[in-house]
Amino acid sequence: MTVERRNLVIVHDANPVARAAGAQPGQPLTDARALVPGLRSVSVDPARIERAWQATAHWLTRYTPLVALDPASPPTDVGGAAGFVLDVSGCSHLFGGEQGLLRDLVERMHAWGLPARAAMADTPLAAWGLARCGDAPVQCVPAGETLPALRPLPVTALNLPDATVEALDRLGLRRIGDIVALDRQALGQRFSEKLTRKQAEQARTTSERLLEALDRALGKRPDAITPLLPAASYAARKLFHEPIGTAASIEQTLVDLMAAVLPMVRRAGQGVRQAMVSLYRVDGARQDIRLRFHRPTLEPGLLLRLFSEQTETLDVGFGLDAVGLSVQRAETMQESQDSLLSHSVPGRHHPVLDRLTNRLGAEAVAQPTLRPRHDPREAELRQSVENALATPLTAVVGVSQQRSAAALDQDLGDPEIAAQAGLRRQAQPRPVILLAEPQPVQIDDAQPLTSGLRPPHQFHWRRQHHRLVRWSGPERLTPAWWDCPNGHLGTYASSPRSLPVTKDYFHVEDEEGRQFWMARTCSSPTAPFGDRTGQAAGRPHWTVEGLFA
Amino acid sequence: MSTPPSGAPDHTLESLRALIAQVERRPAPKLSRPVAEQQDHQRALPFEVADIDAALQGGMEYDVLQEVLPARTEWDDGLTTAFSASLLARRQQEDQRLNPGQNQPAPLFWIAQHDTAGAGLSAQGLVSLGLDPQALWLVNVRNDAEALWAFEEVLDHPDALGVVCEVCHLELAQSHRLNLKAAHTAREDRGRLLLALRRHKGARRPQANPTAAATRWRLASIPPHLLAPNGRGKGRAGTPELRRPARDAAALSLGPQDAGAAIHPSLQEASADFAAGGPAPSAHALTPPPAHHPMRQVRWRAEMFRQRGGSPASWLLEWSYETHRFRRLSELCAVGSATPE
Repeated sequence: MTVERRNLVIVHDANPVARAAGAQPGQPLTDARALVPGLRSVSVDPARIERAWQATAHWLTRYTPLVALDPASPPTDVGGAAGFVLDVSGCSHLFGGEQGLLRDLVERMHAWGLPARAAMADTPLAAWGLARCGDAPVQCVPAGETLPALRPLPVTALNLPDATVEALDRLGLRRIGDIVALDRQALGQRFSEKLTRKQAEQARTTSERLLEALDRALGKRPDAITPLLPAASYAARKLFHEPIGTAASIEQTLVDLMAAVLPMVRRAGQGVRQAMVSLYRVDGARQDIRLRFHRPTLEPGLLLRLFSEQTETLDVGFGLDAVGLSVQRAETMQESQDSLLSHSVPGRHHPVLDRLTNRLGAEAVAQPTLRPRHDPREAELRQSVENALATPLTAVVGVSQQRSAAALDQDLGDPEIAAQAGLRRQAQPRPVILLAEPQPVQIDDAQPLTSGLRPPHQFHWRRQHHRLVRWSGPERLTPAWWDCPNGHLGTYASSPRSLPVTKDYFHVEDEEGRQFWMARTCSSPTAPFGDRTGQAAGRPHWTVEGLFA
Repeated sequence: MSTPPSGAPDHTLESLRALIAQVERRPAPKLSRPVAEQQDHQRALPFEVADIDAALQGGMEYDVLQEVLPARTEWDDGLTTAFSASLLARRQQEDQRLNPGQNQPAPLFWIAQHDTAGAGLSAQGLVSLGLDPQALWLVNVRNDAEALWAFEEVLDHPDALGVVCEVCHLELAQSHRLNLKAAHTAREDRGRLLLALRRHKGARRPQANPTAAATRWRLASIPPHLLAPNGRGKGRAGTPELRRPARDAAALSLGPQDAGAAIHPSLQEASADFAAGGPAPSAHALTPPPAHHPMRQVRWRAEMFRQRGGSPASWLLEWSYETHRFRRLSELCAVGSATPE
């Protein structure tokens, strides 16, 4: 396996045969070729190695949910070996004891052609050292016998920096047993004998690190691993001797698992909000199916239905040898009394919404809500199911119309302008479709360019000519001043595109009877909307904003 | 040629219809229903326009697919959206009339695709049309298959009042499947208005292929010059300008399939009335500037080109932004001078 590093192809890893012949990880490929003429090389991508590392870790969750990647020597480093740390407390009896678990793991790894070494000890660091530096490929240290097992190992088994290992080597301390035999105080002093202050400081940290590693290995200092997956509140797993593959058998397994998990959740007075079904394939791949609910639930039927909807896209390969169910998020269940008359109260939440969001995505189902804003694109918000269900219902209908009428009163308080526009102080209807982006129209210059508080006579939009027959408006809508960079002056067309802009909106109808919502903005910063007579100072810019009909 | 005895064919037809209804799990075929039962508004949404409700035998039937098609595909997004939203608003009104004092509105569903016009549905616009958006769930899907899947799922909601589903392509079998599911999940006390809103997706346009919808509507805009006589239009109606009404009527006819043929007599009357004295659309030089006039309604030429167990018909129809009611435009026409302007 080779990787490219700084324009040089170097050997990333070599198989035992190649190593025996002289090819070493880290060598340039040309050097390795010179040593081993028959060398066959494969170029690999570090990202792919990383992915494979992760995938293997996910596969390992078949033994325990707490699996962490070992950061000490990542496989993406040249010559690095992929390491995993598993916390198997309480899990090993399922595999015939600790020995059985290790043997099973290593055998399965060998079956895929991966030479694996595994060790089990009281602490992660001790197991790490045993696996990397121990004699046997599979080592299981019984509880409480960590120290005797560590004694004969070289100091590198403590995962120490190279400088420390060198320093210890100079002192003749080559085995862990040698260090343990020393007095802790003496060890610290031995290192601080150096002369300069800087060196002394370095030495202190070195000795501190050494002592800390020793304590971690012997369990005198707590050592935590960072598992890939958050620990589930409730979980169950089922292993099979013969792989299963049919949809019916998978669903039956899920039913069995739910029978184990749901009573636990129920006993805690909780309901499932988020669950995950993990399917372990024989070839080592794992597939997770997430189930989300907007209300805590304990109904096996709902879980099963959501699951079976997602099994269409399921690829079980050569079959599954384990299936797990874990509850990631559980919430207190509000018990409600079943009413005698079904359908008596139309509830806002229904499992149908769960089914829609699980398949289409959480953002796909939304409820439109109005906000107190004049700018039409700011005036409404689409709330996801979760938010919509959390907000209480209010009587909103009519509010927005009243508001826009109030806005008219304020903005067009000048009676002259109001008379010119022929405004009745009444709520203006809004278009049923608001275009995602305002779409500019072309205005035929041969026609008199209308300006002021009037729409053009005709315009060209979407490759069609529109001659206007009727119009009403304008309605001046301003973005909220507290959202604008220049405050209450508002923003006009000269502002950057992304900002909301004050516009005059017109409701127009063309000769075919289609009604549009058009808007006008002016580019002049001094008199953005023209003078009293409605003559625009700059050239007005017209857009189509929405469709009424 | 052996003609069966009179009376016998009626009986055969009735029993066959009953059999079909049984197979389709639907209530009772319309034609054999007694007149008194046809007034049962629980099973249909009345337009509250006498002619239309009579032609539909009570209104838009609940729990069976209804289909809305645009006449000019790319340009009628607004028209078809407004029509569907108006019908949903009508459905909400009916619900409030029948179940007053509900503390929360019953849910409505609008299934839109990310590239169809419904993605831009505006809550403010819905409020203008009289629909309470708090009850509305917008479901955003990626394609026709997902839209139909979502439609079927939503039918499981026991409290839904109405569903609008935007699809481009709808097969006969798919629509039949939806009808079966709807009949299966129907509730006695609450009817659902089910609309399939046919949309174009980019260049792909909906075809008017046969579907199992109970009624199929094609909506077009009404050129305003047909509706706004120049004040003295009535006086000119008698002058021998016979060509123009005919042409305008033809202009109103939609699509190549039914050019001229599907024009309902009432529409021909209406357009004849409106067109008399209206400005000629080709006279560009003489075009008056657009008039400043508030537009307080959405108008459609609504052509019901297929009705199961009934005959097709078409109407000029409007929905008011103020009263939130349907109105037939020929009534306006009869009033004459009462038309706006």
